[in-house]
Amino acid sequence: MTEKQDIDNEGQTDHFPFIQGENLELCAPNSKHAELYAKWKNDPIVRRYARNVIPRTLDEQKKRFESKQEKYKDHISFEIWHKKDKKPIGRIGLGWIDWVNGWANAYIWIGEKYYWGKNVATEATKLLIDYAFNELNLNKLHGGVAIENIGSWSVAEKLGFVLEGIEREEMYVDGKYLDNKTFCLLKEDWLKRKNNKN
Amino acid sequence: MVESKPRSVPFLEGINIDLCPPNTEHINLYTKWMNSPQIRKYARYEFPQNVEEVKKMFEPKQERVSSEIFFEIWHRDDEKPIGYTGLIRIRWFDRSAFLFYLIGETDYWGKGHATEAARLVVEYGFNELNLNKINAGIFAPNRSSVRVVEKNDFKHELTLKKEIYIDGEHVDALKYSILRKEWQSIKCEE
Repeated sequence: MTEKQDIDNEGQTDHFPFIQGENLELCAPNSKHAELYAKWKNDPIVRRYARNVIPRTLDEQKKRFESKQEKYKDHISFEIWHKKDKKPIGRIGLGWIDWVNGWANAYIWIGEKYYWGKNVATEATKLLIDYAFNELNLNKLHGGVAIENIGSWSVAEKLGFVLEGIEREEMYVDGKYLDNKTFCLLKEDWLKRKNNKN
Repeated sequence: MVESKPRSVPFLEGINIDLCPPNTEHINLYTKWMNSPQIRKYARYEFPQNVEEVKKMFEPKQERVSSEIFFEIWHRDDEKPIGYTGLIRIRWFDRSAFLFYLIGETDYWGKGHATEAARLVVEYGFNELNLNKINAGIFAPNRSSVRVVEKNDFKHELTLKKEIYIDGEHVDALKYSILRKEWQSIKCEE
């Protein structure tokens, strides 16, 4: 089982860990999992607060794997891999990377609902934060969360994100306008927190 | 050489200014504003833009519904373009957008033209585009821009800490917004 999962039918390596965590790995997205990613994006419950309001086709999803010309990405995404269960369970990444001003939006979705409420989002986000500050040299991360999406903003608070404010009627979900809690994490505060813990 | 008389094609009429569609004959002027050190500091154009790149911004696009709307600000008495304004990041599902405005001709600063332009765009956004919310993002040191949205009854919504890198340091940014219902109740009082 262990070896098999890493090898595809043609005997090629098929698992690309990029960041190692305790229970999770953040891996390069795998085009062979496009179907799974598309399933998550269209899932009525998963997409609710992720604001995927338009159906996504598998072809669109596949197109995302085509290599781009640009030298600097403004979007970096990972597959979240569950080490013990040996399978991808969601996506995480940085969108809207602003290299000049030094910030990005952090986003996450756990596509496999079985893993909701099991702390995987907290661990994955922690790995992403370290990557953003210590490898990419960003100064600040943003996280926007619908006010009713309690699971998500409790993760943000647990990791030291600070509430910047509330955006009124920011998004339209299930027939009504919802307020949005806007969180941020500055690198200096993240480092302070880490030092205090050590 | 015959001087061609400047043309104005008003789309929204104001008192001192009109808002017109972008005019490709004025691309050089737009490019000058975008590169000007004084202007771009708070407008956050961090990279030089050449005329061809700016021209490309105004080429007809494939998409049928736009996520950006651009107006030239035309000075009625002086018959010339003095800046631009409009809406970006229009999210049709959430019915929200971000307002932007820029007076490129510095002789026209401090005369209330940006405030009037913003008033026209907000009215257009709510009355014609059926938006629910209009936002404005402003860098904290840019006080004159804050006054423009405050005069238009926007409310302060967020202070984004150390959001923007200007002149060698990270400074705060502010987010202001006005909701359709707030704008309507102010209209009724008037």
